[in-house]
Amino acid sequence: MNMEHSNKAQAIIVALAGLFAFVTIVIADDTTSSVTVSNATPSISTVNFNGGSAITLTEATYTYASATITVSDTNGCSTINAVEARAFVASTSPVAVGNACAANDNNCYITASSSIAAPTLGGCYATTTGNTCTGGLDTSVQYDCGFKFWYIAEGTDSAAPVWASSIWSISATTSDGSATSTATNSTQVVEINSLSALDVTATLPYGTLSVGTNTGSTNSTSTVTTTGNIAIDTQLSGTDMTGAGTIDVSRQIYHNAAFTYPSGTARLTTTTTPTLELLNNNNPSSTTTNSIATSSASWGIQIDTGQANGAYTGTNTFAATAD
Amino acid sequence: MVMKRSILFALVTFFALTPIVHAGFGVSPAKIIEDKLVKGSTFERVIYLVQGTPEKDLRVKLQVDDSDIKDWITTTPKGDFVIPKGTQQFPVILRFAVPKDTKMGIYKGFVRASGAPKAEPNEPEGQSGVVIALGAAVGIELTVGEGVYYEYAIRNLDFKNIKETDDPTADISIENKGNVPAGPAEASFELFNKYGDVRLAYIQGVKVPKVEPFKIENMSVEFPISVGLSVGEYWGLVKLYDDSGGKVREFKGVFNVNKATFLDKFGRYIIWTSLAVVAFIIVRLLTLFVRKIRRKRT
Repeated sequence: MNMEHSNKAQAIIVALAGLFAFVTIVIADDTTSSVTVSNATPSISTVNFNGGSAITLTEATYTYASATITVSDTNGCSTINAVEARAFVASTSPVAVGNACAANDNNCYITASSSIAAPTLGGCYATTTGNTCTGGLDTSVQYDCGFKFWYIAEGTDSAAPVWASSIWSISATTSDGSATSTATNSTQVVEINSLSALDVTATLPYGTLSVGTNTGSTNSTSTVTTTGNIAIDTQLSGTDMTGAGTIDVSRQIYHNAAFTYPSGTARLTTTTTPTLELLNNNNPSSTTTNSIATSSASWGIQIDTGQANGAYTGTNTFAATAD
Repeated sequence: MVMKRSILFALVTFFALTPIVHAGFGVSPAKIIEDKLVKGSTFERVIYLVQGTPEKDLRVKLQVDDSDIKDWITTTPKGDFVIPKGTQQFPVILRFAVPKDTKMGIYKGFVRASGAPKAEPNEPEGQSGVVIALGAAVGIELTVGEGVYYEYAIRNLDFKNIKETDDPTADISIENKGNVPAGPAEASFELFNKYGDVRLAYIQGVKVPKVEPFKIENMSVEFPISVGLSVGEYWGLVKLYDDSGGKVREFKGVFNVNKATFLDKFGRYIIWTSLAVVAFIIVRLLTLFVRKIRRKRT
């Protein structure tokens, strides 16, 4: 009996020893894992300027045109914090990347994102109607950049006197605060059309004349202002002055400088020949709208003997034509 | 007595009372130049009559000056018309048709728009003078020669945002500067994931229609890929090839696939099903009608 107990005890000891032979002691502790997500450089995937269409300016004021810029950032589109676009006169190819032109109303317009909530003309704004940034995993967002093109912006169409072989391009830059990138609308050919336009003082004061006299060396003048983007001349025509009788249109003579009647350029006719070469309208390319070219047209008139006394009215037309 | 004999023409008095309105006038483009025309060529251009301060309706007279090419040009609108106030840019279409018996040469002319006077000569008693009207003339320079001119420019290439039910689509604007139909012949398209690094689909040999001479054509070219696109962003790469297979332009950019509406998804099936049902009913009614007539006869 004792032997049996002894054997059992030995068997239990052996079994426990065998069990502990396979048991290892594990010491548990907390571990931390870390990974650094590097900043991805944002990229500009598309730059679309005015839908690829030519831009028509408006005389004496500005015309709005826009560039649509799609920006991507694999860190998420919400990391984009700046977009800038420059519209500038460029050679037809290649388009300059990262163009750094200085802003002027002739050939370089710059617009950029701002913190203004309500979109106004000018500036770059994240779109509210197109590809919006929804945050999270969304990687791209569309910005609309508006440009106010003034009437002196250089024309680049085939009628443009200087830049006919050039185009208008966009250079866009974006940043996420750490990295920047640039792109252009290299697949587009966008022109600004030449604009032949003018403004003229509304009336032509001849003064008071007696029958059988003319204005002599006392000229009346019309001030002609170039309100387009190319140099102009004017084609003049008129109507007979009517009232108590008729003063034939040919009694009016014009010139581009002071003159003594009847030695001006030509007599006015009801048609439009010849063209009056304006002396100072060859330079509408000032870089600001504050100094626009003006010129003068001088006028004289003859009142024939026998002309009936009374009031007379007529209309003279100034038509702008490319110089 | 001396004063009585000296008949005076008060040519200016009312001007002192007439306010000067600052309202200019112009035309854009300033010239239309075509130097690759041949006998029988036709084309059209749009010009804009522009005013910076269109504060009132403006009566305009449009005319083509007398010249050798007067009969080649028609305009829409033509003659006298009114530009409504508030309209800064008013379009006028000019259509040109070179007669087939024209001699080769350079032809010039003007299309002229003249506005009403800036100040109205309302002629109060004893007042008179000259008021100024503004106008603008578009110079026309046409060169008629012979021979074939094949030249075109791709003015725009971009992707269009589409719906789930649509195929990827590229907007292409092509200007044919020559006198025969021209343009890229084919296009290919590659579809990439939102990061632009994994290609998902590819299609080639998509025909691009030719553009008629002297025209600018805006077209949308669809790429019928074999996979359906779910909502999201994708990159696309489009390449245009000429007739000899040479690549003339490529563009890689992002486009969006937006959620399609119920009608977008099932509209066509609903329409076809409806048409089938209506057709079935009509056929059934006709059959019944014919049977009824036959029974009456028998």
